[in-house]
Amino acid sequence: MQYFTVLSDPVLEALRARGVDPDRLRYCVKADLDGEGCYVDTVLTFDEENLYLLTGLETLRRKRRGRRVLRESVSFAVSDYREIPLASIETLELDRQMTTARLVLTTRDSAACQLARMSLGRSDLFQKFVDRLFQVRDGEPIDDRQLQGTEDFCPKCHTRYPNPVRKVCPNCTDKGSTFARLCKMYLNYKREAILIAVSILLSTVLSLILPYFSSQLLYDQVLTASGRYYGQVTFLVVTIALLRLLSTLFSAAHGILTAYITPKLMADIRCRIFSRLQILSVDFFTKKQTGSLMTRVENDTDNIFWFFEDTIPAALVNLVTIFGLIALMFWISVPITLVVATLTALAGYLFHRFRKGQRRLHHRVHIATRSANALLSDTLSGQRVVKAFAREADEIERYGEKNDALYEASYRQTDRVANLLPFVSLINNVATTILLAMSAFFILYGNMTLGGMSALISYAGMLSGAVNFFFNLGDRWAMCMDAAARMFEILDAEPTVRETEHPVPMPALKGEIKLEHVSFEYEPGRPVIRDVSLEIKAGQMFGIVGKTGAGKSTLIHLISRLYDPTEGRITIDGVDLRDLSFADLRHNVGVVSQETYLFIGTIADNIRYARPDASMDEVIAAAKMAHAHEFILKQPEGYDTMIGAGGVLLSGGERQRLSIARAILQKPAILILDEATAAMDTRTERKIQEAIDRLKEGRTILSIAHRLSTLRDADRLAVIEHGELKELGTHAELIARRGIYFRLHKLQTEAFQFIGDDGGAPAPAPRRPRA
Amino acid sequence: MPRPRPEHGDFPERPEKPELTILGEIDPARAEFKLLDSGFLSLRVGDVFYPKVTLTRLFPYFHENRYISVLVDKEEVGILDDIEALPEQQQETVQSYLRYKYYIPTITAIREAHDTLGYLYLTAVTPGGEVELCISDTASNIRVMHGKTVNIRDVEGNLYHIPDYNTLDAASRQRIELFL
Repeated sequence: MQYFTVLSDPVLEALRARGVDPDRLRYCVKADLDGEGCYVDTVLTFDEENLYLLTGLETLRRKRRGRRVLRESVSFAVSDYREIPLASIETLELDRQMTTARLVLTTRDSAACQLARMSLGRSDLFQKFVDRLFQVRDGEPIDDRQLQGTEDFCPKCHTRYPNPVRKVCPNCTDKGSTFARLCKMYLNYKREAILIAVSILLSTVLSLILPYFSSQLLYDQVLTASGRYYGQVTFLVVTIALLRLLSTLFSAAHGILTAYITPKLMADIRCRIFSRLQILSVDFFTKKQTGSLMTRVENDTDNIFWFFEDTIPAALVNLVTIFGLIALMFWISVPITLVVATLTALAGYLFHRFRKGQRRLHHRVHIATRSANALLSDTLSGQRVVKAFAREADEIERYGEKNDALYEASYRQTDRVANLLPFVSLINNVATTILLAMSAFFILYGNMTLGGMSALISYAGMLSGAVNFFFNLGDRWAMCMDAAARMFEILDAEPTVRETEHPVPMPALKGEIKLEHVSFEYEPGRPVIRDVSLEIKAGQMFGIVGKTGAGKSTLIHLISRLYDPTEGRITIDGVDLRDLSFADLRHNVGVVSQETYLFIGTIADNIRYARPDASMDEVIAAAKMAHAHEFILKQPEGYDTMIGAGGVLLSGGERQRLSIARAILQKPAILILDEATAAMDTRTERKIQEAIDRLKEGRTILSIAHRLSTLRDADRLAVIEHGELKELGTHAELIARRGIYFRLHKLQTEAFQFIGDDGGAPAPAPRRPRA
Repeated sequence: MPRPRPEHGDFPERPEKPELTILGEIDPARAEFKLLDSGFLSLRVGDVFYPKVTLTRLFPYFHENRYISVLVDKEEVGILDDIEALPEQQQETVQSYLRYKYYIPTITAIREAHDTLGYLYLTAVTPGGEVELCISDTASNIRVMHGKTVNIRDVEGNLYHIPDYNTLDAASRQRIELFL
C-alpha cells in the first residue's frame, strides 16, 4: 500500500488483531476529528471486500535528534472498530463545511450517517480515497500516475511537508545547511574568496599589532631611558606609518574584491530566481502574491547582498580580532585579561538582552506605522468617495486613533532606551575602571609597565566592539538565512505542470478535443470542476456558457494546460495533453482573454510577442485584420509607440484588439476566446466580433461569452453550473429543452429589451433629426 | 459630529421602519427546521417543504445568530433574520447544526512558537486537544480582525481562531505577538 497515509506499527498491529491482513489493504487515510471537534485518530482503509474503520488515540513520542524532532508512534488505544462490506455501500459522500469535512455513508440497510470527520485540509485525500474505493469495488482501472511524487510527509521525521511540491522539511533542515548552500554559491568565485580571506586576515593582524607599537613600544622602549630603542622616535613613527599603510592597503583590497564579486553573485542569484520563475506553473503565482514575489526578488537579494558585503567580512575581521586580542592581552597580563574578558562578555550579553526586548517594541512601532500608513494610503486613494459621502471628519478621527497608537508605541520604545541604555553602558564603564585600577596596582608593584597598561586599555576597547558584534549578529544572521530560505524555496520549486521527457511530436494539430471525467480543484477540498466529459470536433465552434464562477474559465485553463486536472484526462487529437510538448501545445493553442497583458515595449513588439520572427508586413496585416490598425495610425509614433508601464495608455477595446492581432499572427489550430468582448461598448464589441469571425475559419474555436447572442452560431454549446456539465447541444436544442440555457437566454433577452439593446444584432441606422 | 465608523460587526440596532428591507426574509413563526440523522437539515415553511437545506452565517464572526442565509442546492431561498426569534426547540436545532458546520478550533494557549526557513511552527492548545500548526507566509495567513480576533490558516488550509488575543496568557501572547 503506497497511498495515502503510512500506517504505523501499532495501527497495523491493531488491524492484525482484528483479523485484517495488512498486505491486502489498498489505500488508507486518517481522519482527525470526532463529532465534538476533539482530536482523535480514525484510520480508514479497505481491501477488495471491506472498508475498515479503526478509531482511537495514537500516542506519539517526540524524540530530539540534534535540532530535529522525530515523532514515533508508540501505541494506539482503540476505542471503536467497524467493518463495512464494500458491496453494501450505496453512497459515500464528502460533505465539506467551513473548516471541517465529513464522510457520509449510505448503505443498502441503513440511512445516511456520518462515518468520519476531518480537518478540511485532509478532504482532498479523502475524495481520492473514496474514488478509489468505488473503482476497486467495481473492478475499474485505477490511474495513480498523478499521485507519484506527491508524498506529503518527510520520510525522516514524518512531518508533513509545508509545500508538497518542494520536498524540503524545515524540521530536518537547519539554518547552518542553508548557510552552507549559500556559501557554495560564493565558491563560484573561489580565487577571489581566498584573496578576500587572506587580505582580511592580514589587515586585521596588522591593525592588532599597531596599538603595541603606539603604546607599549613607545612608552617602554622608545621614551624610557633603559629602553632598547631609546630616542629612536623616527624609526618608530616610520614603522607605525608603514604598518598603517599596509593595513589600509589590505583592507582596501578586501573591500574592492568584495565590492567586485558580491554584486556579481547577486546578479547571478537574481537571474537564477527569474529563470526559475519563468518555468514554474501558473498555480505557483496564484498561491503567492505577486507583491510577495517581487519582495523576494528585490528585498531578499538585498538582505543577502549586505550579508556578504558587510556581515561576513565583518564577522571574519571580528573573529580574528577576538583571538588575536586575547593572545596579545594574555601576553601582557593574564589576570587582567581574564577579568576584562569576563566583564566584556557580561556587558555584551546584557546589551544583547536589551536589544532583544527592544526588538519587540520596535515590532509594535512597525505594526502601528504600517496600520497608520495603510489608512493614509486607503483614504488618499479614495478621496473622491470620502468627499462624495462627506466622511472627512470620520476619516480624520480614524487617522487620529491610528496616530495615537503609533505615538504610544514610539514613546514606549524611546522611553525604554532612555531608561535602560545608560545602565547597560555603565557595565562597560565599570569594566574600564576596574581595568585601570588593576593596571595601576600592577604598575605600582612592578608587575606591569605603563606601556602595557596603555596597550591593554586600547585592546579592551577593541575587544568590547568585537564581542558586541557577535552578540548582535543574531538578527542579521536570521534575516539573511530567512531571505536565503525564501530564495531557495523558489529555486527548489518544481512546476506542477511538467513537460513529459519524451513528448509525442505533433507540430500541427487538427484540433479535436476530448475531456474524459475531468475534475479539478485549486485548493484541496474545494472542487471547481467535477467529472466533466465532452468532445469537441476539429473545426467546430464550441461555446461554453454559465454563470460567473461556474468554472468556465477553469475549463479553458485546463485545456490550454495552465493546470493539470486532479482527476481524469484531456486529449487533443487522441493524445493526452500531458504527452504533448509545451512548444507544440502553445504553438497550436491561442488564447484571447478579457484581461490582456501588454508588456513594456512598442505596439509592434507586443503584436509579435506570439511569433517574434513575424515580418513587419505580417504585423500590419494582423493589426488590420484585428481592427487595431485604425487606432495605431492615430498614435504619433505609429507601431513604434511605447505601451505598457510608463508608456501610452490604451483603452480596454484597443488592448483587446492588440491581443486578437497576436492570435492572428500565431495562427493556432485551437483558438480560445475567454470573454473576449466582455465589458466593451456595443460598437467596439462589434468591431472585435468581426475580427474574431475572421479568425474562426479552419480552426477549432472555444468561446466563453456572457452575451449568449454571440454564441448563437456555435456548433455546440455546453452549460456549466457549479463546475458540472449540465446541458450540451446546439442553441436550438437547448432552447427546446427549456432548461438552464433556456432560462439564461430568456433573462438576457428580457434584459436587453429593457435596456434597449438587441444583444448583438446590427444597430439600426440613426434617425435624422427633425428640422 | 463624526458618525460611527463602519468597522466589522459594529452595526446599530435595526430601526423599526428600515429604509431598506431584505427580500426573502423567512418568517420564524412559520419555519420548522429538522435535523436529520445524516446531519443535514430539512425545512418546512408553511406548505413548502425543503428536504435538504444548508444554512450559512452571513456574519460568521461578529453576528453568529443573526442573518442566516437558507440555501437549497446552493441557491438562496431566504434569510432568517434572528435565530432567537425561533421557538426554543427550533433554536437548539439550528444552533446545533451551525455549531457543527462552523466549528473552528479555538486556540486557548500557545505552548511553543518557532520560525524556521520561512515557516512558523506553533504548538497550540485547543479545547479538543493540543495541535501542531505549520504556517507559511505569516503576513497573509495570520490575520487580525477587529483589533483582537486572530484567524490562523495553516499550510494544509485548516483554519484556527483566537477570539481575543488579549485574553491569552502573557507567554502565549508574547509568542504570537511578533507575527501579528
